[in-house]
Amino acid sequence: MAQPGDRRGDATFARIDAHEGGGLPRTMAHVVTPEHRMGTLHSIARDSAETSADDGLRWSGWMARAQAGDATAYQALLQSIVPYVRAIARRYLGASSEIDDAVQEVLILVHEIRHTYEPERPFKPWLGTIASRRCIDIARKRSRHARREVFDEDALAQLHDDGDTPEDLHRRRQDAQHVHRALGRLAPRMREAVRHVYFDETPPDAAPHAGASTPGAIKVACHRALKTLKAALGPGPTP
Amino acid sequence: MNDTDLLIRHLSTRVRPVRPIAPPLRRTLAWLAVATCIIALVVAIEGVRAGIGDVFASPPNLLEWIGSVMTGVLAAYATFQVSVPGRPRAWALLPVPALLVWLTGLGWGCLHDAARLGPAALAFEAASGECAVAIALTSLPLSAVLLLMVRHAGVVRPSLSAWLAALGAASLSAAGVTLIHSGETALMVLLWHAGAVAVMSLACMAVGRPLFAWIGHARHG
Repeated sequence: MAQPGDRRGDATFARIDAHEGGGLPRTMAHVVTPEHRMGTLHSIARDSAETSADDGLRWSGWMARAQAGDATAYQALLQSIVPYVRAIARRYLGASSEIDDAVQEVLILVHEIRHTYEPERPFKPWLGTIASRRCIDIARKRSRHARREVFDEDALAQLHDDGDTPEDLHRRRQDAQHVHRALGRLAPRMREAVRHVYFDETPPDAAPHAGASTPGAIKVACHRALKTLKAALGPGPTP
Repeated sequence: MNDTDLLIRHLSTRVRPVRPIAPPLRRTLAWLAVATCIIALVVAIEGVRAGIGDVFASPPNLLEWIGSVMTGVLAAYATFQVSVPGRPRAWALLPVPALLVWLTGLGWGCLHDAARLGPAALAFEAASGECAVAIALTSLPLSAVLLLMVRHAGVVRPSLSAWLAALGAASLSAAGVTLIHSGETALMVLLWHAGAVAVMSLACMAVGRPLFAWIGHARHG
């Protein structure tokens, strides 16, 4: 039986990631339907099942020992499944900043309902179902949140100086729309951090909000948010 | 060390022994034992209807009752299958044949009544509505027990599990109520019994996600 710390599966995970990254243009990851993603995910799951049957057996053995209270086996299991869960999260959420959050939520769910794993059954379908359902829920929440975003053109127009020409106003309004949409696509935690620090001009040390409780976490969230916004908005205007 | 590594370390230090979930068949039998006790209690309080032997001597009635019981049993078994991560969703189709047998029995009963009673077989009887109330009230404890037994389903397939759980509980309750109430035409049984089961199971499916979120799944820290 494989022991905790056995890293034979790493090459397989690298293959999964390479497949996952190369199988579909990244720009299309945002426009594919959930059904398409589900089909692609199943094909990846089949591929990975063929190439890494050992992983499933190792994970199953570790989980059986974790259910008996073996902390070492449990830690090895959780570390080992992270790349697999991350690959699933990328399939459903695209190149989103929510991947790490999704992976962590799946790990917590695995911990909470680990009693539902039956050691005589394969481990990968059990884990895959939990991970895919959680990612679908996150994608749905993101979609609902984006629909609730309110865009107030009049309020934006009032921000401009009176001396602007109609062309300037139109251009600024379009820029504001782009920024607003990009903000709407951010994870809630990041959006809150950006609002507090950049819109409300509250220092990270004094910015209380639900998503990130420590100043360090707020700074990290802001950093990630700016990186995501830069990627979403592209290069700045050329003179 | 990133957040995920910290989380893994945190979770692994908190791991405690847990007992793996029992197989679906054993859990179904456990639920059926509870359900049978509850229905037997209701029947004992209300009293078995007069001429129950004659009722089951009629093939349409017998077919309808067996279909109702089997729908309840198979829906419960399917609930324990689909609510577990990794088990196939296709188990949800398991109660469908029994459901068709039940509906066939009801349809046959309607034709039988029409031949026997003429236009009176189509008469609407509002008083028979108490059957639907009895089914709903009996279903409540049965559904509650079943939903609690599969409360982890909220993580996996909340709507499907809630639908199957309500279908199982309501179908068994309908079979139990058949032992109590009498004097209804088959059309009224179709309307109030099958109608109550359909409404309850579809309502549970619609609110499955918030329902399981409210119940909360068993957490093993």
